[in-house]
Amino acid sequence: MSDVPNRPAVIAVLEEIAQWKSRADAEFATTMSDVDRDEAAARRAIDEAQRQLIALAALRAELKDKHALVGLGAEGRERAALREGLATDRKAIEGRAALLDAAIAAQDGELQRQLQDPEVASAVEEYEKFVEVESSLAALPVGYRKAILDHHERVRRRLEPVIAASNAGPPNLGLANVGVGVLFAVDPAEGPPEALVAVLPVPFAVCRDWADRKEDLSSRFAYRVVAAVSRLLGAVGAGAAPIQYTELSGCLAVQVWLGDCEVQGDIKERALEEIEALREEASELAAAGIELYGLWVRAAMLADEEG
Amino acid sequence: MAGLELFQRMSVEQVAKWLELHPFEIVRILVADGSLPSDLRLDAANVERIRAAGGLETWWEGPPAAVAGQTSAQTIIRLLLAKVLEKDYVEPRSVRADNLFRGLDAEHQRGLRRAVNALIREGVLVSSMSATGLTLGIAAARLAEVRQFATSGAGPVAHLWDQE
Repeated sequence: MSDVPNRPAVIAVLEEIAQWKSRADAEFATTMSDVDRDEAAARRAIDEAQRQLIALAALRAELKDKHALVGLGAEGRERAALREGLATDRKAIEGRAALLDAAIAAQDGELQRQLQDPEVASAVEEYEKFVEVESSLAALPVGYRKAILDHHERVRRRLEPVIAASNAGPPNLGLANVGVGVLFAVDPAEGPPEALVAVLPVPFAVCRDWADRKEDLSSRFAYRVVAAVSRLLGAVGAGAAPIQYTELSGCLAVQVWLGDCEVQGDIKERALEEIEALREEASELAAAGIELYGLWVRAAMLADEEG
Repeated sequence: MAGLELFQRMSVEQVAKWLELHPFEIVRILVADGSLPSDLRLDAANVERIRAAGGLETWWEGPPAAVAGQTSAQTIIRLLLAKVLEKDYVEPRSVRADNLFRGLDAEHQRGLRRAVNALIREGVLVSSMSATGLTLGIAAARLAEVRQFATSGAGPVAHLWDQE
């Protein structure tokens, strides 16, 4: 056509436009094809990524569940360890109690033998007679009373070694120290405490059956801790807080309701100070080689396991 | 011949039995009083401190003689309420609960405890917990009824503990 002479110029222009459009259409088709391909690839990638997200979410949930089980397992193991520790400590105290009782009996036996000495026995007899009539002395004439009191004082001085020995502390067993723990907890753990509990490694029977069982090292251990808790309550301004004694895993637990008190100061710090003071004071524990420690634990660790 | 006990100070357990008080109460009273011996051995002075600081009283010298026309339970609860009135333990004043039973034998203590528990349930006596344990007093609103029963043995209070 281009060879046709004298064609109107417009034809050439139109042809050129048509060619341009044809090229543009072809280019468009090629580019759109590329876009379609890339879009399809992107969609596949998105689908894959979504599948991965779903899988990751499932994995996350699975891991959380597993971790929760680990937490429960750790709590259970911790709870069991505390109870096992209480049982072990309780056995240690009871074992030493039997040894200490035997040593005290031997010490008393020796003192009883000393009382059989005729000279001592005669003084003891006089001492005993004085005790029997002591309450009636006030009715006697002053001079007579003074003579009796002077004589009694001489008898008492003669017996002083026996009197002192019979009131001396328990004999030292000379055994290696064994550490035992009193478990403390407050609830709630943060903020003003509403309840305090101390669990002792001694049988609950020292509280419940005290009238039927012989006072022993476990009993005196309990007296010491009850005294320490009482001092602690006084120190934090909760001296009037009601106390209950309950059983936890066969052991004695001292529970204090603090909800109606305004606890002042750091109850945890003060409790450990009281236990420290008790270690210094308790001669029978030292004699038996029992070393006392205070240990703060979470209240949940001491809660009943039922339910 | 006497043994070592002639010279030895008393254990907490011995004093607890003597005073009809739990050993832990002995310890708590002496701690509050600042007079707990460090060796946990107690003498007569400690016992007096326990009585005084703990507000311990012995209200009975054995079971009371029966009154004609009254059951033993009626006699004893009537006498008890008369004692509480006489000592003016009327709300808000209160007395250690264990004082109400001290001096009675175990059987009469059991019977009296049942009656006292019933009177608490019926609101004739009011109870509260303190550092020294349970305390009791006559409910102010029931004072007239208690007085009527204590003096004449009659009135609404007369049979409350029979509901046990």
